[in-house]
Amino acid sequence: MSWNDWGYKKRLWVAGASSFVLCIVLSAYFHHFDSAHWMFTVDSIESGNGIYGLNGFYYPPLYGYILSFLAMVADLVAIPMTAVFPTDTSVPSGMGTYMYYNPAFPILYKCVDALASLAIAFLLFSLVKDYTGNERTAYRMSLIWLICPIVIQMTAVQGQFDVIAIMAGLMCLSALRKERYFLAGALFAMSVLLKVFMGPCIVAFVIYIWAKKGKGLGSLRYVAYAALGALVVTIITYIPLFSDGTWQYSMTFFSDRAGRVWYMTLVTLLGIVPMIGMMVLCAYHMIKDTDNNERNLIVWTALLFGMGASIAPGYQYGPWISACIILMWTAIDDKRLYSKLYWCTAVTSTLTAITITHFYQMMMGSYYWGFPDYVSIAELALAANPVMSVVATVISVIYVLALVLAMVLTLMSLFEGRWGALDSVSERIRSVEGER
Amino acid sequence: MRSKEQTFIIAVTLILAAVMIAGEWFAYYAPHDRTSSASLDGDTVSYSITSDGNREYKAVLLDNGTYDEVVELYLYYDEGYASNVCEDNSPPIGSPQFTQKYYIEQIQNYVSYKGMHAVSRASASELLAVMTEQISDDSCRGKGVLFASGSIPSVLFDGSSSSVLRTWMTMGGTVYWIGNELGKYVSNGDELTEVNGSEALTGVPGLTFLSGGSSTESGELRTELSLASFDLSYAVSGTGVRHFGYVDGGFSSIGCIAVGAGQVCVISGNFTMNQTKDVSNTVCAGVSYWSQLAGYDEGTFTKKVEGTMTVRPTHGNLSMYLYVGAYHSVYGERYDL
Repeated sequence: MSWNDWGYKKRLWVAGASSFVLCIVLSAYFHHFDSAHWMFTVDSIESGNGIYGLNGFYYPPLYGYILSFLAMVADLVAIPMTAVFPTDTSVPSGMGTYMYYNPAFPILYKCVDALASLAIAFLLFSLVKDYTGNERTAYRMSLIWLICPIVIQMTAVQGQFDVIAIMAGLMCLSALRKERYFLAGALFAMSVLLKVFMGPCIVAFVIYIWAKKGKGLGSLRYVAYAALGALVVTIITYIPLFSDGTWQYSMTFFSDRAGRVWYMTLVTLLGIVPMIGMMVLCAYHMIKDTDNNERNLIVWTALLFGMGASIAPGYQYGPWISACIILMWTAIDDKRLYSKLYWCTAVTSTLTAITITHFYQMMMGSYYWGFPDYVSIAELALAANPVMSVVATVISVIYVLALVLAMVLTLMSLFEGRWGALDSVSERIRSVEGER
Repeated sequence: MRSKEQTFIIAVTLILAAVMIAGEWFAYYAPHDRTSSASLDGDTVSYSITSDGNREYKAVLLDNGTYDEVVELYLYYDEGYASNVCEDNSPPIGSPQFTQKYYIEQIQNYVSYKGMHAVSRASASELLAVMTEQISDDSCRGKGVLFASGSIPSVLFDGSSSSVLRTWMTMGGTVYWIGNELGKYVSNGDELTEVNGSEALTGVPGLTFLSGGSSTESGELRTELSLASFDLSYAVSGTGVRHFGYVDGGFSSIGCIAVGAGQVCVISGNFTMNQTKDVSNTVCAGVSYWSQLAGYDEGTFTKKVEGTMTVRPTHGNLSMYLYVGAYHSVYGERYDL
């Protein structure tokens, strides 16, 4: 039996398993900074200070709870939670204050991330197949997610949990389409309480329910079911935080980043204004164009969380952008340029990640696994730093331009036929990839 | 009938919810059973630690001579008095700003689980009342005050050697100092006055301070206490200063100065996460000007570890500091033997 005789689902299983194995192998490498913060969080939990009592965890609470669960598992099976400080070793002092962690616990939390990434591939397969009716397209969209370099980098190397939030967001989308409103609300809250980027999508979700359920006041009953689901999850999550007063630290990743220095405040304000504009535009468009309710739900969800992840654009939110482009690519009729922009954002964000974290990420693996001489790697990393920063800046500008272009082209497609000038600009840009 | 997709979504949601609820329970409601003990029998010190998981431990035995280790700690914080510390020390992205108030809160959280069972915040007037009372009934020994304010309220120290704070230390109290040059600034309400009073405060002439710099050269107790902050800003140097931690050219990350029966312990650097950990380990281990390392064990263990150390027949006040997790400590306890 040849590869071509295999069904797409079987192929997806093979691709998924391969991607999962690749993630586990790569998880021997570390991004020192985020690894440190997950360990700080565990310290806080294990010392009886909850997730925010000791400084170290800056996100909304749910990932803190996932880390807490993993710490419980680590305790039960005696996974080593040990660390070596650079000044205990012969590593150059310029390495600063970053620890070398025993890889066991990082591999454990990266396994969870890799499983979430795998689940996203299957959710995309199901969603795209359901929307397009084409299994081959569904398989291709899932495959490009599984082999996306920034998804692998952020999941397997850096150990960031964006994929779990994306998974919850996509499940919310599917639950909405299947009219499971309480479930959709609960999943929406889970996604937002992991990372806030799904938050602006609330506009698209509410209008989608309203349009699907008859546009009358009666449809608000279903919105209420969803709100109830979200409320239940939020209350359960925040009970201990209200009890000990640490709820105020649950959004510092956003609030502190925005308020610390004037240019970050400016960047955030500059990002929030178009974000609000986008939400208003979404409301206007979805109310006016209820005939395309299914398409609009998918496209506006992608646009809104993509925009949310771009307020402070950075390679670390690359998986959100990848998911965003895949959804837009699926639902917009004119497919031109999406492929190029997808790979452009994926590759440039990965290159930025590697040039910023560069050889540091090999340090801990080298120290514990006996990979190439870690002292030499450290010296190389330190020496390379200034050049790497410049390269990273240039590449990250290309990344931002590509993701903005993807969103702008999608908006142009949504409003196609309303303004001739806009259509001709859109056509001129897309014609880079040939005639429609 | 449910489709496979719906079943998958419901199953994943239930798993996610179960993981999160279990994690929430473990973070806020589960008992974290860690215990320890230490005792002195003749010339043998025995200790044991029990803990979940597989973690590092360190057992640090200090001989503190005639010094009484701090068992009751006051954390000074008073918005009515001007402070002079850097509160904008670029904490990690997303972190709450390291303001004096937040920092004090952090130190309180750290020392509380590392064995300092009597910790409270105190204003200038409360400290004045407490110190005056302790001086009058000669109970300053075993008491400590931590200043993370960079200045001292004038009701405690006005720049002269006859101040309450100096007398309190002379009678056995301990001052832990962070965030600026020791004794340089006095605050009187909203006003800050530069008094350069390190000699008046300690009785030691010729103390000098670093304005900045760092060192990764290890000195005494650096490894034993898992010290990780090597910023030497405000570090003190001079005759009569004992150096611990990271050292460089007569300066150190922890400098202790004897003041009568008490001491000042200067912990260098600006507010950072690593500094909070170093402060808590220094305070909780009972480090002092007189501290001599009398024994040390370290290792990794699962469930329980026990050990013994032999001490010299003639020794001063012994204290055993046991902690779990080393640089990522999750438990600590000191035993004054």
